[in-house]
Amino acid sequence: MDMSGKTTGARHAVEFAPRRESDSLSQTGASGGHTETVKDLRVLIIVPALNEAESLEHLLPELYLKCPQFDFVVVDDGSTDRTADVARSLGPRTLLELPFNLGIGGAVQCGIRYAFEQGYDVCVQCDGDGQHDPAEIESLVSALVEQGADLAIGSRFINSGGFRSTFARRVGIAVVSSWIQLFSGRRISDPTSGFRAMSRRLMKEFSNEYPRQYPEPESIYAALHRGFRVAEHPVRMRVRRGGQSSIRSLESALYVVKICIAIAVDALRRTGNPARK
Amino acid sequence: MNEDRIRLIAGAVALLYLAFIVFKLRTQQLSVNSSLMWLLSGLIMLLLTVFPGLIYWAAQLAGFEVPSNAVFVLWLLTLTALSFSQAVALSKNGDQLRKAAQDNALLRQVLEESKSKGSSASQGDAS
Repeated sequence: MDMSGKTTGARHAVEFAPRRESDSLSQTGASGGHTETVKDLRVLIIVPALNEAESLEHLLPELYLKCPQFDFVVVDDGSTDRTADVARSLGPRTLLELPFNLGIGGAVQCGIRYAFEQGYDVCVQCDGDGQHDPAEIESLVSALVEQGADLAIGSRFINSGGFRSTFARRVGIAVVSSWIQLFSGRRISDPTSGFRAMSRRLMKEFSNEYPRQYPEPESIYAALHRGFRVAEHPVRMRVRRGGQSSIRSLESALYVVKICIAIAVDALRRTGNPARK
Repeated sequence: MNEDRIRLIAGAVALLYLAFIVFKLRTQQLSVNSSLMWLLSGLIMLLLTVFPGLIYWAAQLAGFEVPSNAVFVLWLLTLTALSFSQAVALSKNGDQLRKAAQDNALLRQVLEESKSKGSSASQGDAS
């Protein structure tokens, strides 16, 4: 069975998946009027995964079901389990297999490069651990398009509800958030969110250079610093189904310090304002 | 007498050190580019064992009370510079490696896609 054919051929024919009743009215209303624009876009969902075979068995069918109009690709970041087999079983267009572990930044960048080379208009990062609900992807893309943004961050802190991480994590997130505000003047409520949509312009920039170790907050600052538009959109997050966060608890404090250094270093760099080109 | 013995040992060590670097160069386990600093350090070692007066002269010039401290400081700075230059080289290697790994994954995807297209086409011919 060749399921990959469906991802390209059925893009315009298939209606959007029914929205969940839990979605707020404003979201439904916002995306409702602009379905045509979103429909015409070629969207690639990038699923970075490190040893997430179990979780992917749930997530990938969910992606087919809830986002039939979008393509997706799993980036296997040197997994030692069946991650690649699970992705491959769903067709050859669905897997980028890195020869060894590059870390989340290198894996996501690989997906971005693929999306850019394949001519996609928008790419969406949706982590392989099941934290990000595919039902939210369409509204995230709509937010990107409607707000004319280059990067739309799915934030779990704008509206209430869903999984909002532990207290210690939230403190760390608040520090990173203030730090980004200090350097960019913009308040981003959920800078560590890996659930985000990206325009083609930003894909081009990030294909060349993308933060390696802590890409989520760093890339937000990098985008702002280079003159790209960043938007936020409320999403609900789920508790991860399997695997381990790439941010382990003991390293959390160090994580915050390193991000702050990385952002300060980027602030010192001349960027030449690629967003204007 | 004692000093002569130390000079003899130091000279032998410097010669062995240089010989080892040249051996590594000959067997191509060390690139000429990165060997320059090491060769230079060996030559300075040799020079100082032949003319130890240079150390006393340089230490006095810089204001060291004990000449051996001058040697330690010099050596420490040299090693710091060497290890820093290696950190820079490693970062560059890491960047290149990351790009090569991504290229590998992207090319492999294209290959697998064309392979599966080929196999489905041949199946179509058979039926």
